[in-house]
Amino acid sequence: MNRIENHPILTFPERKEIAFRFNGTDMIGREGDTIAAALHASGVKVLGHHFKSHRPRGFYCAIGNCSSCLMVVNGVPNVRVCVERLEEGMDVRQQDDKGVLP
Amino acid sequence: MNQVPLLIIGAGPAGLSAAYRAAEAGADVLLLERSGKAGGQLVKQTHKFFGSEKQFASTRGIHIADRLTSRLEQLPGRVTLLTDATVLGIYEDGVVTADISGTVQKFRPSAVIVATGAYEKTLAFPGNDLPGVYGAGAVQTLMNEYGILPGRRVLMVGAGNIGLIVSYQLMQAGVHVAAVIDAADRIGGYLVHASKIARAGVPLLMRHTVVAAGGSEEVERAVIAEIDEQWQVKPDTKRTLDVDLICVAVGLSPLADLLYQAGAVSRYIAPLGGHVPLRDASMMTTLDGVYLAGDVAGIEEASSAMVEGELAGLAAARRLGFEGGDTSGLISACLAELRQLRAGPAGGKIRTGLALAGVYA
Amino acid sequence: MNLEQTGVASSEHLNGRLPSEEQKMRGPYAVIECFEEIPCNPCVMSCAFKAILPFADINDLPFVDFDRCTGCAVCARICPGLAIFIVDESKDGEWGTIRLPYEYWPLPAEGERVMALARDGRPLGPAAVSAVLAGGRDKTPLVTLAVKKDRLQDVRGLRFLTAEEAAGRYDETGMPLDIDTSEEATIVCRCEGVTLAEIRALIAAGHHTVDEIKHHSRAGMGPCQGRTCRQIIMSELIRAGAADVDHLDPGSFRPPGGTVTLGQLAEGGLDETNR
Repeated sequence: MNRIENHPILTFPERKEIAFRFNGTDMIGREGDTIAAALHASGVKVLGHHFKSHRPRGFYCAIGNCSSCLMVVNGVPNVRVCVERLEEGMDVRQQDDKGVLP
Repeated sequence: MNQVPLLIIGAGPAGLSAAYRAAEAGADVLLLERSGKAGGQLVKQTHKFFGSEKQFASTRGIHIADRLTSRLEQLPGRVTLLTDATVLGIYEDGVVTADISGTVQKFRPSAVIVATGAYEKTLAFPGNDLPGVYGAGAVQTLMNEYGILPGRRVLMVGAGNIGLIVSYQLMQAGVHVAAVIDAADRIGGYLVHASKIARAGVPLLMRHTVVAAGGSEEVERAVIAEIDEQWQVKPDTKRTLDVDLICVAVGLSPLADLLYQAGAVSRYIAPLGGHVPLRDASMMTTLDGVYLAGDVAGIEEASSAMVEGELAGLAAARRLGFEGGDTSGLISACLAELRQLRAGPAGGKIRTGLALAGVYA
Repeated sequence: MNLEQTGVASSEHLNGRLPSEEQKMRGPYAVIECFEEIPCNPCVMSCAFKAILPFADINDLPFVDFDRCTGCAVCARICPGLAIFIVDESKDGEWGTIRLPYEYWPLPAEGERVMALARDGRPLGPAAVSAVLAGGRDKTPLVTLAVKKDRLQDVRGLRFLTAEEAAGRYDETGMPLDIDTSEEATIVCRCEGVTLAEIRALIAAGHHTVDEIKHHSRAGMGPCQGRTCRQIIMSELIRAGAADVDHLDPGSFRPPGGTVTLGQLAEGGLDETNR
């Protein structure tokens, strides 16, 4: 896990665990996480592959500006997971194409 | 269509300060914030701020955000703060559309203050799209908002204030900073920030650039090298750092898309961070009744963003007929405060930029 | 390489930033390492003693009036740049203290050994934490290190000891604790293996001449003939007040004055006098 345990200035209170699935695998995030944050905490940096170059994609700005973090969430493609809050039972998948309408 | 007297877009230091002054003067304010909470980038700043008492000097950014937000309560004018509210467009007829928690709504404000901040610049180098090449803002968001380690070993690209501050924050979170590099021949940020990380043993390498990021699916290493007077890589100086994170902190540019949609006139002014909307001394753009404040008006410090916000809030309130209290006196005080903040050598860049924009004599 | 390229200040930067020798002896004082004009004034505003010269402009550099500075450290806890250090070299002896701003987790504990760092992060050797001042949500914690006076203007940071460094434990004077520093481990006479403890015990028991001590302990009876131990024994006698410098008796000297084998003596030692 990549969670910060101790910090000289900040405190990170315990947050409720949220179960979700990434590419079909069960994963645990925390309440208040964005999808990207929960994935990163579990060691997942590769959020998909570019539809043309097929190069791996991760997020870059993490605040909804750059759209480098598009994933398929509950069947809906092109979700910016850096600003999308994690919800219980979400089905999150790497996106490797332009996305098809559900 | 919702009629609103004053619409403020963005609840960072500038937007929150604008809302405070406008509401204090008596105006009702609708404050729209794209993210889930107010404070803008302040909520990620663990360091104590510079400036004077008026700009909350010696208070950590995270706490300034709280103070700016909580002082909006119990003002004569009412401030409605909506989060998860993204403004989608400002139209030529003055209509503003926004996605408010998933629902698109239309507003017709009598005045608008755009306080949308900035976006991060990036760099072109081989492998720069590998997962693990992150903007400095992203690194701050992961660490300081979500409590997540962005990596274990980092190369920081950029020795401006953001690069230095984020390096320090990474070290506070327990991340090893392998080096801080910058293509410039001197440290761009405040030297006290640089000294803080130097004394912790982090090498600051000037006239260095990132040559490439390596890794199959994500960053596994970074190649850096010295550059010569012509900014070309000196071939025999390449070296490889074992890092899993390359943090890019090469500056910000005003995020003024909404203003350009509406037809605001802009000019490219490098010292202000790139294209910047033109404005008068009271922060009004070339669009009647549309103001701006903070980094969207030119990249500067949070301290000046707050004063600019107050200035725009007061000017917009006056335009709406709220002359209550001493609006003109407060406007003069804001202008004097800005002049003071920008007076020293560290303000040289912003003075040059504002002079080019025609608003600094 | 200079400050603008490395973030590391040099001794020239400290010109005008340090008190006079006389002022240093009065008590703790603040060293402000703020060398760049930026719009920032909390240090001036925070000083109850008006010991930081007033600013005409918020971009002015801070300078300390050492006749007024009490070393109270209020400015050091408030400085956003973490650029203020509190030095105290007013106590007698070779040790002083420096209070360092420290914003990492965890804070070191009082009594803990840490590595003192220079402005460029270079390790300067282990130092003992003599105090930690924390608390106040926007205030910077201060960690006090005991440092030799000649290093007070070099130490500007600290880090925890590595496992390797920590394996050697140290006392508050910088002495590794895994080294036996007892009188039993202090040898006075190498030849006969006589310890300082034995010598001191003999002196305490009333043996107040080099020869008496020699006869009892064999110190000085070995092959070197007292060339290492005699001086130590004499200084121990003086230290204990058992002898007087002006009337020091070094004890008896007898041949041979160097090592020689019995064979050598048997072969070459014969002459007319003992034939």
